[in-house]
Parts: sequence; structure tokens; C-alpha cells
Amino acid sequence: MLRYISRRVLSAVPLLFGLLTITFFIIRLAPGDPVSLYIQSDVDPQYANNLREALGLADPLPVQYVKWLKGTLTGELGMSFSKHTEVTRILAQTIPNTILLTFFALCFNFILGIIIGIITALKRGSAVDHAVNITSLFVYSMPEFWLGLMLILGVSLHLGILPASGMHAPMAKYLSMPEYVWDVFKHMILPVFVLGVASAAATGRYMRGSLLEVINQDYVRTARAKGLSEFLVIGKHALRNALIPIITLLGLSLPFLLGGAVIVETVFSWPGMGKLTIDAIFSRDYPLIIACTMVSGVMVILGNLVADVLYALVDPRIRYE
Amino acid sequence: MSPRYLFVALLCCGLLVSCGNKSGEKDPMGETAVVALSGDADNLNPVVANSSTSADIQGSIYPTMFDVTFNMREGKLEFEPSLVTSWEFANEGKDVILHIRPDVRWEDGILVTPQDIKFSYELYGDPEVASPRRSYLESMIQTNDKFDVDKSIEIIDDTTMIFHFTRQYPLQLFHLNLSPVPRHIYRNADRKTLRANPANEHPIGAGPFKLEEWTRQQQIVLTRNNNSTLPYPAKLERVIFRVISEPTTRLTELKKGEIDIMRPVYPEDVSDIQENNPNIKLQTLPPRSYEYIGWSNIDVKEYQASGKKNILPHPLFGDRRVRQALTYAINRKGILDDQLGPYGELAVTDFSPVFRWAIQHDLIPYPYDPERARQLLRASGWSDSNGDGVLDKGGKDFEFTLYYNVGNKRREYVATMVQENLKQVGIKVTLQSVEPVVLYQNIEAKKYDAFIAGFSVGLAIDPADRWGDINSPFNTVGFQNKRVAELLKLGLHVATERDAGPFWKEIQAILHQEQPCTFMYWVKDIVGVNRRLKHTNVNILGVTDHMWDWMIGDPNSAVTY
Amino acid sequence: MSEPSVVSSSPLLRFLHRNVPGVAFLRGGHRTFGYLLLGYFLCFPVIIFNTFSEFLRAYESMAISLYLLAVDTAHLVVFWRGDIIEHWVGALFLIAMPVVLWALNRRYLRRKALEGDEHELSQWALAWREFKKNRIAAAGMLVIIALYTEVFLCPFLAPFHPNAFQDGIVTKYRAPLSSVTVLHLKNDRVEGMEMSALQVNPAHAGAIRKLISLNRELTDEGFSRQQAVDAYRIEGANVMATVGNELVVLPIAKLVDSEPDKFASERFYILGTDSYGRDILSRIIYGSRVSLTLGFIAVLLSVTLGTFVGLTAGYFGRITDTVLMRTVDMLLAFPALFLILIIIAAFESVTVPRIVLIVVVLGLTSWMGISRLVRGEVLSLKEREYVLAARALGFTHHRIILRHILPNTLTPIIVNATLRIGGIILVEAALSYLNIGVQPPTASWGNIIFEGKDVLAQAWWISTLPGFAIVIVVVCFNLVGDGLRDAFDPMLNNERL
Repeated sequence: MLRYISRRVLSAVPLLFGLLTITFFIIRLAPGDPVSLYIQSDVDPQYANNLREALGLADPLPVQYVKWLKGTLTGELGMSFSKHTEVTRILAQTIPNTILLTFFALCFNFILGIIIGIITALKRGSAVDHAVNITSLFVYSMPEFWLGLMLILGVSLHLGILPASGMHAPMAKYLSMPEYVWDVFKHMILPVFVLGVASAAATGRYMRGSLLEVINQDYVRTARAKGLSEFLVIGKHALRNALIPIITLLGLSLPFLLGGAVIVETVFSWPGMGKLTIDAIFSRDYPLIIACTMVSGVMVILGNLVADVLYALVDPRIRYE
Repeated sequence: MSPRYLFVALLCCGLLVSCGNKSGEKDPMGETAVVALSGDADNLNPVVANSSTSADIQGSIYPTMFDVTFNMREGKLEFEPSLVTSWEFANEGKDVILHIRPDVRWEDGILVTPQDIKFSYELYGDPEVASPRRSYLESMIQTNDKFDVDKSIEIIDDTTMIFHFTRQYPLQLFHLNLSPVPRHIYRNADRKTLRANPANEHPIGAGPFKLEEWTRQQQIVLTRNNNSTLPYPAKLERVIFRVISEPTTRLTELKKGEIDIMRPVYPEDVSDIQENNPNIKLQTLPPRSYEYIGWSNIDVKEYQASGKKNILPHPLFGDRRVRQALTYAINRKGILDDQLGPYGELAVTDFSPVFRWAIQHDLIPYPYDPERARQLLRASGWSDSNGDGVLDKGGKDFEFTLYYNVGNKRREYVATMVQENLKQVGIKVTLQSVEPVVLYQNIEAKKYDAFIAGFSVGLAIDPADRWGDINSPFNTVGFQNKRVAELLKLGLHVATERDAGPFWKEIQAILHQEQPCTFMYWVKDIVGVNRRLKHTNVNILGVTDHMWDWMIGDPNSAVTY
Repeated sequence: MSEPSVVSSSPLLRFLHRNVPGVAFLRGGHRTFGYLLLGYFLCFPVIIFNTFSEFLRAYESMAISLYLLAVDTAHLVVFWRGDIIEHWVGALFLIAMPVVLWALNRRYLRRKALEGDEHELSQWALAWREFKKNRIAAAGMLVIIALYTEVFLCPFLAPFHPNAFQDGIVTKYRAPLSSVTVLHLKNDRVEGMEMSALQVNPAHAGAIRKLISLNRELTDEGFSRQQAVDAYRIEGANVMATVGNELVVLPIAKLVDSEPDKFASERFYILGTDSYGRDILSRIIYGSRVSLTLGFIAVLLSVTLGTFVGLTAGYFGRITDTVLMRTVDMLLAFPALFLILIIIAAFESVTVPRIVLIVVVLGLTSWMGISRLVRGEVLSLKEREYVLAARALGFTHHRIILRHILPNTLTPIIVNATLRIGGIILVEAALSYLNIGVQPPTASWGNIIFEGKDVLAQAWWISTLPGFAIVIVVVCFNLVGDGLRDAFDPMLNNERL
């Protein structure tokens, strides 16, 4: 088992390395001088060059690359050009927010998806099945940003029930702990819903298929034949086994969610990495862009790793080879 | 598996809290004011900060040399004592003697001394630091084209210092109003990386507020600095600057009372607020920034290709008649009415109407007159000789790309209107939106033929940075005019501001005639203030001016002082 | 099903049966299909009839251009304007599509007469028969066909020019199903046709003049001789009109007619207007052009690339396979949107139009899934007897891949591509929403939504309506994709127990 895990971890390393290299070179080929963010044009070009040197932009590209690689490996991600501070510092403020959002979206996705899957599988062919299927098709085909806007329009602007954006109320810092959690929770409902609901539709479909397959297997028939109640048959025997392949979805849905987070965070002004990345791209903040991409890449790779390991743990049929 | 339980647990938690919440209602906003920002501050160190947001915030953290106000009736800046208690001019106005308050302390208890001030000016003037305000020191003593701090600043004793200028001019006090930073904090700082110095995250000031927290892209929290004597600790306990980039959200939060003060409110939202939100007071700021369409007067291709040496007239816009025609052809009034209505004013030149004494009132704004535009274009040789609807001359069509920044609705509107208007006179415009960073960089480097930009004028008239020689920092269109250059010299060497009036008036007449760019309109920002916030002083200097006097009061009482 | 004898019916019916697509199906008992086909076929004459003058002008313009191409190419180049092509394409399509339908119908009838109902069915025909059984998927297909037809016919279908606006103060933020009053002004503009500067052969001058005026009329946005007003009244020889807060005085002499019925009319906005006063419906119609063509081309690109990589990796195996598939893994680890954003931001240069860049980037960032799929197929096909036999016979790799492997991977590719178009359309919309998509004022569904998002509270329709368009299209593509999968792979039907 350990060997399997370490093998998987090792194989993730070149993946990550390639990912970073690609990002680095794409970014450095971009037009647009980041130093202009710092200084005005009346500053002597010579001093502009000094600044460029201080930021490490004056070296030839390969040298920059090696320097940057060294920095990255030692956890030194450099200075953000646009925010005048260390990248690690900014990331430390934003990553938790994104993790919070995606984690709950993931939970929401799986809970809703599994429920949908069970209902549609058990009631297959019924009106409920069709209605759920059609609804999920529509949800799945919706642009996330549009769904977000529509919810803001309906729920926040018209009904005024939930906050339209941000992560907490301005005074959240001075709230008591439970009040604080409640405040964040309220802000989180809409973005989590938007982020999770589309994947939930997909998960539901997958779950339906998986459950249908299991239900037709011999052991379930045996259980039925034994005269067990339908609830027990499904809940105890079928569901457990049907859930196993769902685990692989965990790894698959992560890149999807992180990409979606870019949009959802922008729509809801959620102070996370997605929004940060957009800001960074617009201001040509190289170190920040690279760091954001790296973090999202790591999250995806880790997610896949966790999914694989979980799968291996749950399903004894998998060989650790 | 485990996530599921976690979620359920958290959900239960949330529900419990929601029940608990209703019993203990209280107003957590008590003594706190909330200001909305559309973007985060870039830096809180006054030496290197670049954005106006930063300036608004650090003004209450760091000590200010003078207490500056803008006298709207006179149209000029007025200086009152702050860190500087009194001042006098000597040596034919070339020397300024400042008396510094002896009893001001930095937040950490150390006295603010003339050494701090001198050190700070050294930072402002150090080319390695590349401060955006380095040009303020240009008229002090220079050695080898560098600001010479020792020759320029003389410390007499603990409360007296002399600044030496090379000449007397109206902006001297304005240029002496740079905020000092504590020397004991920055003494050993690396100059080149001053922008990213960790100390910038925790500014040590002496003003009425101090920084409590700065969460990037979210909020900046200032709290009262109880030890401040400059002028006194803030009356409010706390001011929160919240970054909300979505205009819709910003507005919603203002209406809900989550935000106390917000700039700008968009003109289209005004009537709605007036009808439905009596708790919000709307105030209009005097015109300080304008938008313009830059027509490059010089041939940018040649200019770039020759390494900024060859300066030739632009093939399209080099001709003054063409530039005039463009202004005639653009329905500026229509755009203004549509976008700003009463919250804007047609711009004649870039001399803000607030400088009443310096305004040339005889100039009549160019009306919208496409016919006149066609005539002028024909006169300068442009005609539609092949009937394709686009003017041409010598086989080349009159077409160009107009650049503007992504994400600015008003600019996009202007761009679309200009495209439409110019089509009517036979000019083909392609629109291209560019990210702000890239746009400004290319404008400053003079790479665009035509672009839409805005400009915020200083509160002391200094047209040299726009209409001086071709290398002036904001001469974005490459305008050159001998007479203007002469007038600038004359205007900037007079003893008092008022004396420069006639020169400024002549410059306006020339600009009006030459139309180096099409001046669109002045913008009068609308500020929304929740009536519970008292003693606000929303004026041309900004919304946070004298923020330390703000108080929270009964929103229904009319008292505003 | 018993086919009514053609011979026994009246000559008119017989003519219709032969020449109007759909009639034969109607009479043959395929009612739904027959009506749909007939309806689709009849759309074309209706559109032509409705926009007849424009239709004629497009052909005239085309004819003169062709004539000039033959006799005076140099001047055609001078007078050439690119925006006329959409009218030509539309006009050609209006004729070509019915003709194609007619020809297909004839061929179908002839075949049927020869073979009867019992002809042998190819794999494709079988799949088609399966597909048709799936009513919902077939409906989706119809919507898609209608939309792609609309893409070609934008200029003939949109009520207004998508970028046309005037008197914004009156026309902006009009709600759906509202109208504004417009006054029609006389055409007093002197058109500067100063051709003297060019040495035009007098023999062609007439043709050129005609072409110029035709093109002008075709590309005219149409509002230049109109004035939108909030209200107006006649006072003596003037019309007093309120425009926003202002009172405009127009001498009646400047209007096209002195009768209010003739100089004033109502301009109707079915889906409202945006912040400029542009018609949302027209913008959505033109926006479909961006979304649908972009989706199609990007998918074509990604399918080509993905198939190529997948075939190469799967067929050659070993080190090639490892390298290619590791690359695929790596690219899949990127959240795709990050990659797209970075590339667009980085390579957004002035010389390449943004739309081309987006197509390429979307194509280049979405091929990985397909290559995995194709590789898997190839791996299994490689071991089949007929491939082994071909190898044993010493056929070239080239021939084996093209003749024996590729055709058998086509069905999953087609299914996958169909499902993917929807996804690509969503990504394009998202890019436009992030303001790095298609350059305004060109309409795309994403940037219409973007333009409306700041005024959501006051003008909900701007952002809401194009969203529905996106949802409908994506739903249809997903339906068709699912339908195709089921049709091609009867095995899967077992799943629908």
C-alpha cells in the first residue's frame, strides 16, 4: 500500500514540473512591461532598469527560469509586482477561502448528486426520473456566471435574503465565533450552490448508472430473494458498492471545480484564488500568476492522488501494482 | 466519506447558530464607519504608493506637513499648520523656513523630528526608490541631475529647518507637503525594494488613525490612534475600507446601510436612491478629472522605429484641421448627456473650471457639427474618392484603431459612440480594448495613434507635465508648440499663483485652437453618504478629507455641521 | 405502411410530391418528419418574400462584383468592402438550401422507387434510424439545424443592425416588448462620390456607381435618417419633440412627409434594448454567429489534434505513447480555464483578432480528452484480426491507420465532439464575461451578458435573455450527443432498462 502511494506521489512530480515550466514560459512571452506598474514614465530609464534588475526581469530568460525554479523549490515565490508584497503572503490570505468554497461545493456536489442518482435509479422510467433528468440536463448546460447572476438578481436583489457578494460582513471580525460562522455560511450559500450544482448533475447521472448496474447483480437479487426489505437491500447492499466508483469522480471533478471557482469567485467577489488569478493576469503580475497556477495544479494533482488512494483502500479488487 | 459527516456537522452548527443569533440582536457597527473602495490600495508607504486610494488612506495614518484645504470660491489651495506650525520665505522666496511641532510622536512613542523629514525627502528624491512624487523635488538644489538632499535641506535645530529652492514659484508649499515616514524604521531599508519592504505592511504613523488590519483585496481597517496629537485622536473608533469591485454589489450594500460612504455613485442610480433611500445623502464633487480622446500629433511608427528621435507629424492627426474636424464630428454633448447628465461638464481645455481665476471664459466649446467636420476634412485633402464610404487621400483610407481600457463601461460607451459618429463623416474606426496596465504603458510610451484616457488634474495648476516638451510625463499625444512652451516658462516663474493667470489663459486659447486631443468632459463624481455618518467633509480633495472628525449619529437628525 | 400510388393522384399533387421536400413523407405516413421538413423548406421562400428588396440587392451587388472582377479587377479591389459578404452568403444560402433539399428529396424518391423499403442499411443509416426514434434528441437536432441556418441568414433575420443605435437617451434600457416613436427625416445628406480622382474607365463607371450605392444600402445600419423621440406634437410648421430632457424643434419640411402617419412610426423592440439602445434580439441573433461558428471550429480543431495524437500514441505505442500520454496527463492537471486565461492574456497581440486567438486557444486546450479516447479505441482495434492481417500483408502504417483504424474510431469521436461543442460555447461565454472574449462592439452571447451585469437591478433583460439562448443551445448539443451515442452503440440501450 505504502509503495503504491509513494509511486503515485513520485509520478506526480514530473507532472507538476512540466506544468510550472509551461506556465513560466507562456507568461514570460507576454507583451507588457510589469515595471510600468511601479513607476511613472518620467523616471529615468536607467532607474527603471535598476528596478527591473531588482525584480529579476533583466536577466536572459533561461537564467530567469533557473533562478525562479530554485526559488520555487525553496518555497520562495518572489514578490508580487502589483501588490507590493510577498506572493506567499497573498496566497496565505486567499487559498483558505478557495479551499473552503471548493470543499463545500464538492460536498454539495456529492450529496446532491448521490441523492439524485438514487432517486432516479430507483424510480427509473417514472415521471420523477424524467423530470430530474431534464432538470439536471438544463443545470448542466448553464453558464455558471449566468446562473450566479440570476441568483443574485432573484435571491439577493429582489428577495434580499442572502448577501450578493463577498465572504463576510464588514464587521465580521468583531462577531462572536458562532455569529461569524453563520455570517460566512450565509455568504457561502450562493457561490457553493452555483459551483456545486452543475457537477452534481453529472455525479447524479454517474451514480444512477452505477446503482443500476449493482442492482442487477446476483448478490442484490439474493438479498431480495431472502425477503429483506427494499430499504435494507438498497441501503445496505447496493448503495455501498455503487458508491465505490463515485470516488474516482472526486479526482475528476477537482479541475472542474477549480476552473469554475475562477468564474464563481469573480461573480460573487469571493476573495479567493480564482479572483486573484484574474486580477494577477490583468496586471501582468508574473510571480502571482505562476504561483496561482502552481497551487491549482498541486491541488488537482493532490486531489487525484487522494481519490486514487481512497479508491484503492475501498475497493480491494485494485492491485497496488 | 468523512467530508459528508463534516458537512452535516457544520450544517448543524450553522443551524444552531442561526437560532442563537436571533436572541442576541445588537448593532456591531456602533462606532465604525465603512468606506467602499472599488480597488485595493497598492501600498501604504507614502513614498512609493501610486494609487489615489492609497493616498486617501495614508493621509490619516502618516503625519501631514500642512493641513491643506481647497478654497472653492477662490479656486486655490490654502495651507494651514499641521506638523509645520509656521513658515516664512526668505532669500527672495528661494528659501522656505519651516517650524516643526516639537511634540508629535510616532505611534511607537518616538518623537517626529526634522531628521525624519529630511530622511523622508531623501527617499522621495532617491532615483533608486523611483518615487512617483520625485518630480516634486525638481526645483530644489540638484547636483549632477540628482536631488541633493544635503544642499536642499538644512536642519537648524530640533524645531526649525530650511528648504532651499532654485527659484521662487507658486507651488513651493504644495511641493513641501510630502508626508514624512519614520527614519528609525526605514533607515536601513534597501532602496531598490522599498516597495516591497515588510514594514510597509505595518505602517508606523502619527496621524489620527493607525492601521489595524489589511487583508488584501478585502479590507483595510483603521482604528483610532489614541496618542495622536496631529491634530487629535480620531473621533470614530474605527474606519473600515472595504474592497468591493462589483458596482451592483457596492450599490446594494450602500442602500442596505452596510456601507456609509461610497464614491462614485453612477448617475443612472441617482433617481432610484433619491426615491427609495432617504437615508442616503448624495453629494457632487467639483470637476477634477476629465476624459479625452488622444490623437497622436506625431507619427508614432516613425517615432518608435527611430528610437524616439524622428518626430514627424502624424499622417492622419498631424493636421490641426483634422483634429478640429474630429472634435466637431464627435457628439460630445450627446455622450455627456447620456452618460453623466448633470454630473458632468463639457471640457473646453484641460484647465479645470474650479480654477476660476485662470479660466479663459471666451472660448466656446466646439459644437457637434458633422457638416463642419466634413468641410474641414475636405479642406485638408480627405475625400471619399472611391465611394466606399471611407475618406481617403493619396490612396490611403482614413482609418485607425482606437484603444481604450477593458472593464470601464463609460470608456467603452465613448468608444462605441465615437466609432459611430466618425463613421458618419467617413472615418473608419476599429475598437480595441486593452487591459489597463498595458494600455497606460503603451500610451505613455506613445505607441498608439488614438486612445481614450482620463486625467486627474492637480490642485495647483501645473500644465507643464502635459503640454511641456515632448518628453513631459503626461504629454501622451506628443503635442509641441513653441508659444505654449514659452508661456509655461513664464507662468511657472511668477511669485504668486494669481500672477500666472494671463499666461494660463493664453495657453487655453492655443489648446482650444490646436485641439491636441479631443477634450470630452469633466466628471463630477457623485458620493453617497449614509446620513448616520456626521461631519463628513466631501470635497475636491476626496471623501476621506478630515476623516478624523467623522462621527456616527442619529440618521434622522438634520445636524451635519 | 402502404404508399399511396403516385400515379393515381392528381397532377398537382404529383408535382408537389416530386418537387416539394416533405410532401412525400407526409403522404408516406411519416407525419412529424414530413411537416418539419416541409416547414423548414417553406421558411426559405417566406424569408425571401419578406426581405425581397434586400435579397435582390445582394444578388445585384454580387453580379456587378463578378462582372467587375472580369473586366476591371483593379477597381473592384478599391471598392471592395468586406462587410458585404454576409449579405451575399445569406442570399446564396436562401437559394442553395432549398435547392439542396429539393435535390436530396428527388434522390431519395428515385432510390425508393428502385429499391423499395427493403434496401440494405449501412451502419450510418442504421444509426440514423435509431437516432430518429429518440424523439428528444431529434428535436434537439432540429433546433441546432435551425440555429445554424440562422447563422447564415443573420442579415435577413435580425430586425435591426446589431450595432446600430441612435438617440440613446430615448432608446436605451427599453424593456422587452416595448416600442419607441421615431420620426423619419428626409435624406438630405450629400454623398461624396468623388470618383474623379480615380481613373475609372467610363464604360464601367455606371456599374461601379451602382455597386457603391447597392453596398451602401445593404450595409446601412438604417437609423441615420431617423430620430427617436419620447413624444412629439405638431406646432405650425414645426414638430416639437422631447428627446430626454430636451426639446427638439424639427421643421416639417425636413421630414419625409407632412402627415403624422407617414413621418412617424413605432420601432418595436421584442427583447428590449441595452445601455446604448441597441436591439437585444438583433444582438442575440448576430451573437449566435460568434458562439456557434466558434464552437464548431474550435471543436474541429481539437478533434483533429486529439485524433492525431491519440492515433499516434495508440498505434505506435512504447516511448511515443508514454511521452504523448504524459503530456496529456500534464495538460489535464491544469484547470483548463487557467490555461486558457494565461494563453489569451499572454498572446493577445494587436495583429491577431481576438476571435481567432480564442478559437485557436480553445481548440488547443481541449483535445486531451479526445486523444485519450482515441488511444483507447486504437489499442483495442490494433489487436483485431483484420488489422493484424493487414500488417502481415505488409501494408504501410499510413494505409493501416487511414483505412482500417481511423474509420472505426469515428463514432466515438463524433459523439464526443458533439458533446464538446456545448462545453466550448460555455467557455467562450465565460471568457466574454471575464471581458477577455470577443471584442465589443461585436456581439457575442457572453459579452451581452457582461454588458448587462452592472445594471441587473434596473434592466434585467440584458443579462437574462442571452443566457437562455446559451442554455438552449448547449442543452440541444448535449441531447444530440447523447442521442448519437445511444444510436451508434446499441449495446448501451440495455442500460435503459
